Amino acid sequence: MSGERGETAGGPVRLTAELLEQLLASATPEQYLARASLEERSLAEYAEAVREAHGLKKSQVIRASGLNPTFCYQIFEGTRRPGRDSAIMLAFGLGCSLVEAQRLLRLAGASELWSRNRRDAIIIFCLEHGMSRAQTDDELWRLGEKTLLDGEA
Amino acid sequence: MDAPTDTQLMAALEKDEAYCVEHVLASGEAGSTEVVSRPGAEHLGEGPLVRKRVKRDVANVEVFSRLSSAADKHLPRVVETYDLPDQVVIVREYVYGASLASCVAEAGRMGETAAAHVAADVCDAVTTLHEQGIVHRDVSPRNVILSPRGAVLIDLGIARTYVEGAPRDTTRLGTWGFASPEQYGFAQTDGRSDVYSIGCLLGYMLTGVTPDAEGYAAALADSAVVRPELRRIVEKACSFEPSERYQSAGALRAVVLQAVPDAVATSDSWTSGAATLPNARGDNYLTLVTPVQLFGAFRVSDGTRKLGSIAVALLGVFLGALFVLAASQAITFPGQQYPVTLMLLMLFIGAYLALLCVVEAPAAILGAGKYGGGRHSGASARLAILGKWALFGASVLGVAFFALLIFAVVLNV
Repeated sequence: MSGERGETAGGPVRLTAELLEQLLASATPEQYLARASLEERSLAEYAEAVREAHGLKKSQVIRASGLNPTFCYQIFEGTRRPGRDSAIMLAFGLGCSLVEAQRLLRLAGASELWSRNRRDAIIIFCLEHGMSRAQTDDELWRLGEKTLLDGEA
Repeated sequence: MDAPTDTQLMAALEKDEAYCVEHVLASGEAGSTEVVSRPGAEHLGEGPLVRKRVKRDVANVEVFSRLSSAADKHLPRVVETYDLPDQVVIVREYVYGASLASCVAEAGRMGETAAAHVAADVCDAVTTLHEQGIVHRDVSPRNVILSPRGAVLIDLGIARTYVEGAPRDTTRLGTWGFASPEQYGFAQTDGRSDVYSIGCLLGYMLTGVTPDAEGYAAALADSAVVRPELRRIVEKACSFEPSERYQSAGALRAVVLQAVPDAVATSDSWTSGAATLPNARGDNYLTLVTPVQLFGAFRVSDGTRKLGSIAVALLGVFLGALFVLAASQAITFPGQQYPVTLMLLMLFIGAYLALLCVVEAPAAILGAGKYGGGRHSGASARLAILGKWALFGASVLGVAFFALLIFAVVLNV
């Protein structure tokens, strides 16, 4: 979203809002692209950074996320890309805050969590309240929505 | 070893995460090497360990499953090996000591005795690997550590198992100047490639110069620097054509120790001290040589030995057949007092002689199993073991004979 600073795990050098201003002020796209340094980390790098920042071991993350171990390992390696629900499960495994989770989803090429969507809203709530993936799935089930585990996206 | 299953992966990950990294020695595209320790293991007297990660596409994964069973005084003890989807990991003991490379860089060329001693130790290590069907492929000064217990050969990251009939190796690495020509794609590497590298190592130790450097050939040829006999050994071991080299590390070891007798005394006393180490091979003459060991040694032997062993084996078959015939005669020929006894006796003697000539004698000739390992490459040592086995077998036969005799007298057959 606009106005987000670098996330807790060490984000971009420039504020995204600043870059947007620059872009809108440029006459041509090339002008903007030539000047701005648009490094964005890969999903694997970001996930690894978050994992280390939170002081978690890979095995802990895999267990907490509920993802298939080999699949999760390969996400960290960068050889496979998670779908939307899998990325959300990973966010839970990493103990992400909402902001971190949104970034994770964006890097995974999926749409971010949207508070207007019923299911997303429940997930956002659980994420912000520090609930585990398992507890979140319980809530989703209780409220009649598709759970994360079992719903491959 | 294929990529691990999910449960195996979790188990491997947990093993991996249990180690505490003290220090990173090297890190690159192909993997990394770190000094690690196991928290809580200090009270068991365990020192620092080395963990080496090698990417799957570079490593030969079969090697890792066999490394644990390749135990030798001159190889580092393997603590554990496990694999992850993208890499294989080995944790071994940290070998204290300076590498041969740094020693020679610092102090220059080594004296004959020391060089021969190191070469003999490395030959031992390599022989153990070859027995497991592993070719090291990177025997170089950086990978030889001069430790208190002798020279130790480390770093098996690129080692691969010998595959019958494969035309070329799929990965070609190694240390420039010490790697055999085959490693650069001319043919498949086998035990003799390691022999080549040990030859280069010996030349390096004697001249103080690496084989690919300018002054190497000159220094090697200079008889004031390197004794001509040793130069010939180095040249033969480093022949371009594998069939012209020494055909096994054991052979090279024997030749080196013959040329430098002073190194033998220290070598042997170290060997006897190794009795306390868990060594699967051992000096046990009570065991039979297994077919695997026999064929393994047959494959890496030279022509004359192969012929000799086949000749003795055929003799054994002939003798065995002879005694079987005698046994059948004992039964059918009329007028025998104890036909069954005699028959059984003939069969036993036949079996004993057959075992002796078809299995044990060829094994002694080829240096397989308990006769091999580079330690007993002297003919007298092997004869001694063969003799002990033969005596043991004969005594077993004698006991059986007496039992038969009593049996016969009692039952009057």
